Amino acid sequence: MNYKHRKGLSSVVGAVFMILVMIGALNLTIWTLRQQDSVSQAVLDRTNSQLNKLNENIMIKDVRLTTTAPLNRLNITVANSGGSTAQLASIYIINETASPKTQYNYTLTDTVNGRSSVKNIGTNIAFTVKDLTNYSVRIVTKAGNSAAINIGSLSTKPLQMIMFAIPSTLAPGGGNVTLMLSINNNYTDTAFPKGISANMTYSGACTPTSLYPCTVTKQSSSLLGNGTIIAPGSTALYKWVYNVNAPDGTTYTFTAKIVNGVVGNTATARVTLKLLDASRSNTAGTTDVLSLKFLSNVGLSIVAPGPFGTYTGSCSTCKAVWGVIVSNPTGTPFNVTKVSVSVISPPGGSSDSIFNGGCSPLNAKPGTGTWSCTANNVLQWSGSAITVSSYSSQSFIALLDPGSISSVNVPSSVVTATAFTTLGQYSKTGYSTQVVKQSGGGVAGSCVCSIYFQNSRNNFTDSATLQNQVIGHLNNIPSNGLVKMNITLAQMFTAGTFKINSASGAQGQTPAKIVVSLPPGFSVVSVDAKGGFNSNVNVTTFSDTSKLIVATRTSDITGPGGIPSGTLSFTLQVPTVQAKWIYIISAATAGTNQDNQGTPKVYDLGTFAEFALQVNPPP
Amino acid sequence: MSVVVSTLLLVAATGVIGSFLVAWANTSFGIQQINIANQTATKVNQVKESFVLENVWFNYTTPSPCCSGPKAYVTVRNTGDLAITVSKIYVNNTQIWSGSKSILIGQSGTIQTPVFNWGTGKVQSVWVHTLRGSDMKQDWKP
Repeated sequence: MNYKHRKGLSSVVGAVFMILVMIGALNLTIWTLRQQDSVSQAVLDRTNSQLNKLNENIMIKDVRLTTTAPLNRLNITVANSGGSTAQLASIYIINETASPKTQYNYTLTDTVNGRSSVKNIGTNIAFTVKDLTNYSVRIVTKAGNSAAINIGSLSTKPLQMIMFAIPSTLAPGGGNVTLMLSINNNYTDTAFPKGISANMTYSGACTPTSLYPCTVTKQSSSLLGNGTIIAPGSTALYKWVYNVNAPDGTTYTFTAKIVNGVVGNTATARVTLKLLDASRSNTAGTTDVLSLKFLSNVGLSIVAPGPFGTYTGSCSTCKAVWGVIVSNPTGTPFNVTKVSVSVISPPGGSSDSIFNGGCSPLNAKPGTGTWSCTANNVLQWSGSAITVSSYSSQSFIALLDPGSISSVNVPSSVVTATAFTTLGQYSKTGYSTQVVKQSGGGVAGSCVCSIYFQNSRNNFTDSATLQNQVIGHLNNIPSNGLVKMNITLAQMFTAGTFKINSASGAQGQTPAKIVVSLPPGFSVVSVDAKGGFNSNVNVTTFSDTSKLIVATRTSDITGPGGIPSGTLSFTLQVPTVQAKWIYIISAATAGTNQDNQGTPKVYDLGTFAEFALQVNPPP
Repeated sequence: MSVVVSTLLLVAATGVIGSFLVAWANTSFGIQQINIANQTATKVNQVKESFVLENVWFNYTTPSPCCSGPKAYVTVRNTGDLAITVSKIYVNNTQIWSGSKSILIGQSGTIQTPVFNWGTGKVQSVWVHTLRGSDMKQDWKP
């Protein structure tokens, strides 16, 4: 062996050891890196866990109490608006009313999926909610998130309340008033789980009269809203309907209070009964008051025939009754200088007119001044001013021949009455009359049918006689006194051509009827004479004590020379009043009339008359 | 001959020194590995530890007459992946409780503090410290 060649052997051995040391160091380094990686992985896991926790967002959406056994347990709805499922873990309930406060803690096991809600949480925990007690409730999830809400007691937490009366002003005699109560749960973090109910009371000084008894009556089944659960920040409406009947000037104050609510936490609304001319809100401007007052201060009532016949030349018995009754329902007299009646119909032909211009009416009322037709379809009274005293009426009535209608029948022609007074000009419309065209050769097309009130029980004979008998109003009837009314239905053409029917017929005839409407407070003492109307005159009384008298013809009204008219006479007892009062009685007609030429042509009966009755209070 | 002897001596010396070096390196590496493993485990556990202050109930009354007075019941919920041990509780930066309260994964535990003064309506800063060194600090109003 040549030992010279073994000189580097120790270096080799040393290198082997160094390699072993290096391998050990390298392993340690690699292991250390792996350890570092495990730390990084733990951080990532923790971050993901935190993100999931942030993605869970629960809130207490609703709190109620159980209404079946076991009673008054919590019934909570929890919503999760996040994306992760929330596992409920605990509920903490603190009795905030107790002194010192008391805390209750229960375990929950419910699960609320993301973007959903779960009801009935808390119904199975042995905790009963006491009345008149405030609680705070907090629910905690396993992820550590929580949601809280307060449970309020109505006896310690006042709520915002507003109430309205609709309408707030009524005419004497009253009517229904709707009371709308708004209760606002203005606590955004407090629930009232038992539902909220409210009571209504009223107060007011009222002196009853025979007409107005001072009654305030709650309408059955009108209450809405009681027991409503009002969510935090929400509002609920409650409704009552009361019927109020009281004299002029009465004010009732309605007060709403929450059941078991805070003392003094109330809402009020006032209802006032006033005559229309005095009715206005406290905040109304002066202009509005004047406008309302003028529109309501002159009353106009109308008398008109229907059908009005057709002109056939001068006729002493063919003048129908047209009239305007002007009533003054105020304490201030006014003068009337002009009254007009105008009729408007679709033009059938240029020569057609319902009132002929230049007509010659008879002046029935007021007896002074002049009635004339200043133009086609305009009937006018003018003359020296006539004073209408306070709370009284004045009649303006004319007897007038029919006009000339040859082209068309006019089934409904609008009648407008206008009075020119020292308080201004007032009109009333909405009534109508009818006209039937000439049947040929100047022959009238229909009857002249007219209903009117008269001062005595007389058959119609001719226009000149009727001129002194027809009336439109009566003044100075004593309170609770008796008054006899005569209402006459007349056919003014000579008998033999036209008639008012009393029986049904093949051409659609139906018996004529007089329909009389009486305002509330009147009594029908007796039906004194029926004059061709059936013996069983029907009197219907409505809930407000207003009445309807219906009398049906039992014989045809054929005209002068035959049976020219029929008069219904009855005695009324007027209401008891404490101040002067004007009542309007209306008489309308139903049924048919016909001609007698060949196959009868049948037309509706449409004449009507209104009558003003002034009642004075006891001296 | 002398060359042979000197070579053998040199190889032997190298072997001895090398063996010593390898032994020392292995020991040193092992110690280092243990230290790193402990530190890593501590950090990983601390990262995995998660809890919330679920409730703090300030109350005057206690069942035992010996300890009546104002105190607090601190409820801690373990929301992490391993059990935790609450070691200290501070209120308004003053330590009011120390001990060892273990809370398992997903569970909550309530710690009753000794009597200390807190004012009704005044915000209290509650600070919970765990054995691993995690902290949770929240404000609560009695």
